[in-house]
Amino acid sequence: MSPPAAESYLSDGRTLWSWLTTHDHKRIGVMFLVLTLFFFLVGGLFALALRIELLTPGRTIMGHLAYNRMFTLHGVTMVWLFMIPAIPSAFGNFLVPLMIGARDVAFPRLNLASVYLYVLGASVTLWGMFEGGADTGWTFYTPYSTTTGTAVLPVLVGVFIIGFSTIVTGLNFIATVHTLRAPGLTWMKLPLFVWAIYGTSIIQVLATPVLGMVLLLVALERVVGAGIFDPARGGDPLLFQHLFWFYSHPAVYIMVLPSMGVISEAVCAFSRKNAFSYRMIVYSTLGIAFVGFFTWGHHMFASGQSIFGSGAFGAMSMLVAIFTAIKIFSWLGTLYRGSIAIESPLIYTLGFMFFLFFGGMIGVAYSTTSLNLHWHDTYSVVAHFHFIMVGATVMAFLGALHYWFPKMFGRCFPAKLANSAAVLIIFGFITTFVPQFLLGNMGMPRRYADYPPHFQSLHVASTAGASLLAFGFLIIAAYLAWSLKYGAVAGDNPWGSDGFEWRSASPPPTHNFHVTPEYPTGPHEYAREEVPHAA
Amino acid sequence: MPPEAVTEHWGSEDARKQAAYLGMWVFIATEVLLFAGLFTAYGVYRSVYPEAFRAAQLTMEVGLGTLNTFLLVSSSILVALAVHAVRGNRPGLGGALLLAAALLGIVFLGVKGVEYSHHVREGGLPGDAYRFAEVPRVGASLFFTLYYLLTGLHALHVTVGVSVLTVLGVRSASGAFGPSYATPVELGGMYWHLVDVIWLFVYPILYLS
Amino acid sequence: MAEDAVEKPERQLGVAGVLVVGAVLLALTTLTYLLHKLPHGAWSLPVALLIAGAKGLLIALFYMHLREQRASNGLVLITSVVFVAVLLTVCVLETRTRFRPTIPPGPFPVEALPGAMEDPRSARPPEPAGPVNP
Repeated sequence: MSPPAAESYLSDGRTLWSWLTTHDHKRIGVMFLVLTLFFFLVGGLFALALRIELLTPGRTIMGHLAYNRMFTLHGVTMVWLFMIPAIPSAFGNFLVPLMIGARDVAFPRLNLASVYLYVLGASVTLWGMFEGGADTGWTFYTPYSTTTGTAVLPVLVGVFIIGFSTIVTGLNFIATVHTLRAPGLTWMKLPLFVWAIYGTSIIQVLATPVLGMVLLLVALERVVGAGIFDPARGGDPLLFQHLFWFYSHPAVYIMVLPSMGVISEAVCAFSRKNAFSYRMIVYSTLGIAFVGFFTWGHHMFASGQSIFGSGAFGAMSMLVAIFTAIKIFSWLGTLYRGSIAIESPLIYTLGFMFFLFFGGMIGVAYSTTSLNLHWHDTYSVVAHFHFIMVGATVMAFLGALHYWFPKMFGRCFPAKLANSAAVLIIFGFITTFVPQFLLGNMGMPRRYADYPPHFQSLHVASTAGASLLAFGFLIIAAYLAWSLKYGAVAGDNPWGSDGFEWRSASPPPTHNFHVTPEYPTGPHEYAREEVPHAA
Repeated sequence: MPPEAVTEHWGSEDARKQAAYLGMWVFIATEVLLFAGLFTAYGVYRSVYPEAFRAAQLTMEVGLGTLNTFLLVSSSILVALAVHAVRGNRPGLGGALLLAAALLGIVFLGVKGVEYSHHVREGGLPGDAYRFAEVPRVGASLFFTLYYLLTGLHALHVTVGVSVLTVLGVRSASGAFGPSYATPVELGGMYWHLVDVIWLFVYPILYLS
Repeated sequence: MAEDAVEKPERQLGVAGVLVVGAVLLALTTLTYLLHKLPHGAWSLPVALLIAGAKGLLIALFYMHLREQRASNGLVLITSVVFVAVLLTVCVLETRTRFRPTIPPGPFPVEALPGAMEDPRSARPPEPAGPVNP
């Protein structure tokens, strides 16, 4: 295959202006990738600062207020600026049209608008950070968020605007999957990644408006004293928590469903087998998207919520584990007796499956009300959701980055180095977060800058793990940046994958396909033809 | 090189139309869920403060609220007729009907303004500013907060809708749409109907019962 | 592929149809208003909402052309309505089944921590928390 510069989307206009005004879903995907990676760096620096502060009891590098602001900004950045847009907006934009044989997404101009909405929202949030930042935690719980003197307002407005970007992206994907599938590509032939993005889009579209409204109400409460959530005016702070978690619990699935899609693709590609049970993965995706809306109250067990409510929410939360287990069994069944190729995406996939399983099982324990009260607001909870959000989502994000890097940029990266970095990341992750489970179980509360000396050894272990993680990310950033220019030319299909996205050139031409592809079978039909594995 | 893969964004005219309708419906779903937060707050506080809510409701001007309901329903009928006219290749008539519907929307906003001014004079203001002596503060101040939020957010949608109808009306009158291309009128009409339907739910819970 | 067509033009309303639906809408509006004149009871709100729902359904089916379009579009609307109902119902149910009141005006009983020795009532604040009901 010709070198990547030949006639790809990357070489179709080389000016900055041609990128800023592009309607090409691939360029928009790459822009989202760059933006989300930048905010991953910002959020990561905040996390590192938190871990350094917790290295010793008492003050290490910052006071309590600075610490509170720091974990708030870490949460806000990681949740809304990195994790929610990362896989859907970056990889989803790039891959969904390629996977369904379309030229672009349904509404390319709206797609570009979603980039600018994201940039606008992110700028307002950044401005809030420079104003000193909020100290409420990423959850903005009332009445603290309506009374604190820190810069809550710009952060609220920023997140509100980013919500529009999310909605626009979700709307676009739903319309795209419904109307732009290539002839012959029926629903039950869609790649599993497309299904995952579709399920995610449904959640984004249904849940994000409620977040917008609740943020608006908090802002109004701060500005004009609207009094909806203020007990002094007859309001109910729990109502805020209901509305907030009606969005923010499904938001967990906005973060993790696309990861599951990535894993479904990678498992098939690196074991050279069809998905063990395509339909079950599809149905469990939709099942998670649906049941995820009925579990939000498990964040409120210790809030004074009705006991009836807690029981119902706890039981519903356990249902999610069934759907997740179906997926994990399907992936394991796919790997079983497959022709395994140990490449970095597969290493991340295995890490993902372990972390999702471990974090998910602990989640079932947490949804038991009586046990939850012991762990509520401790470091155990922090470790639990980091197992899902970092352990699962970031692993899948890195897996996707490695799996589709040749697709996006037409270059290979040094495989051995990538494998070592993947192992380092997984090891660093375990070292960071397993001590936090132990800390939480011993009674270390979350969101505290200080702690009694007997917790120190575990905190030091956690900080050491965080440093390992940071080191691993630096290595990845270095070799990927190097590979962009100096990596070996990948060819069209370096992994020998049978996924639909590999049917066009790598990197793809602006119009994606020279010939409308045909889809006689579903994706990853390895039994049909033997795809030779790239040396 | 088969041209359909390279040049056509939409596989077919049907796909274009369906994407437009589906996209609009998804947008409508987001609007419905945007209001859901306020309806939920209303439901929760009404169940907590039933007497205060009833007392505050009795001070609402049902006449003006009902007038507004009739205005919006009539404008919806006009918009439905306009879509029919544009589809039937009479864009001039369609434009006139759209502009008439927009005019009803403006009257709606005027009536709403009169109502607001009455409330302000009586002191029925949201949150801290609540000064209405007739109804006890706890609970009733929440009713008025929600009243302003629901009607205010709705009025914002009416304003957007009026602008959309005006632009569509002028463009339709100048012959921009017809049977082969009625999508913008259809989508704008759907938006206006959405605004109407939301009011149909706001009206009974705030004014009637 | 008649079932899969994006639009079913034979289901479009004529002018008469649009006017009939409009007349029904106006009649239902009048009906709600007249019912409001009757003495209120526990049923007045559900009935008013039912009438609003009927009007909404008519508008969605005929004026927003759901009847002429693919079923998927109707599914989007149904889904959104279902989730509004879920949010509303769950929140109201939860508020009504709380073990003890958490919304002012209290009173909020102060409970001793497990193992506390003193009489729990001694910890009760002199005044109920929250604003005083006038």
